[in-house]
Amino acid sequence: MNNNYFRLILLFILMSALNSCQFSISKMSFKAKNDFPVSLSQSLYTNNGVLITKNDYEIIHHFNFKINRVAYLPHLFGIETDVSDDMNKELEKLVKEYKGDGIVNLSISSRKKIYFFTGLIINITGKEWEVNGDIIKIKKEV
Amino acid sequence: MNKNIILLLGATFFLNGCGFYPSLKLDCRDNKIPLMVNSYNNSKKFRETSEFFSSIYPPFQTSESSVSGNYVQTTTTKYAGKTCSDMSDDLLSATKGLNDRFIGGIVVSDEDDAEFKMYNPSDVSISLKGKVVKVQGGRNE
Repeated sequence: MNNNYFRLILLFILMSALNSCQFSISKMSFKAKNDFPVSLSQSLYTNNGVLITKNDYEIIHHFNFKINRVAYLPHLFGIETDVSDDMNKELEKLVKEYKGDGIVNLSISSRKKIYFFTGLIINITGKEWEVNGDIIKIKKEV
Repeated sequence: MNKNIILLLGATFFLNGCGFYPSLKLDCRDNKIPLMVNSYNNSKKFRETSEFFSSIYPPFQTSESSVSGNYVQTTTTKYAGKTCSDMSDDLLSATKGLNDRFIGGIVVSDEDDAEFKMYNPSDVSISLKGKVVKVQGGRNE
């Protein structure tokens, strides 16, 4: 066999072996722990149990931020990572900055990212969360 | 030959970066039922009625292969996907039976917070778990 073909085959075998080294995130989780109410929908409850609907508040700011996570340690089945601290800090910062009473319309989107140049030799994967929402001010008459 | 190897490697790297990695969005802005994701402290006002769990996931397909005699059989299963509006349906059925005096919603208690979990693209989904509550003396929109 031609020496170059032999080298090529060897290279592919090596690549395949290295490809099994997975640096991956299989699961990301989030738990909200804030003093102000956070809702996925357009309505929310205050701590006093009062229902606040769309007509009871005004949106003072729309926010958008991203959270990225990359796995740095090899795991065969992936690792679980918690983004609660990052996310809660960011939400708290925003509500404080705009002096809001709570958050409505919180939406979350997720996407898996494979880092291009490392994708073949060793699978380093990351996950990105994009978070959107509206900071509200509850009207005084409520 | 060396040039060919470089080309082949370049093409493999390029193709490897062009995989299909689905994204998923949880967007419940049209939902009127309060969908709280954080803890609350006023347990007197809220009365928990039942556990709530719902998951949404995008359309995807899986393939399973099995060897039967000399044949390899591949079965492909397609999932239609489940969206946030399906989650709203789950919510509505969870809060069914609450009359005008009670406003239902999903609120999570201190011990059992709402959880979002994202899995691998082959099994990508967002799960939300919490407790269905009713509030006495509430008002409807």
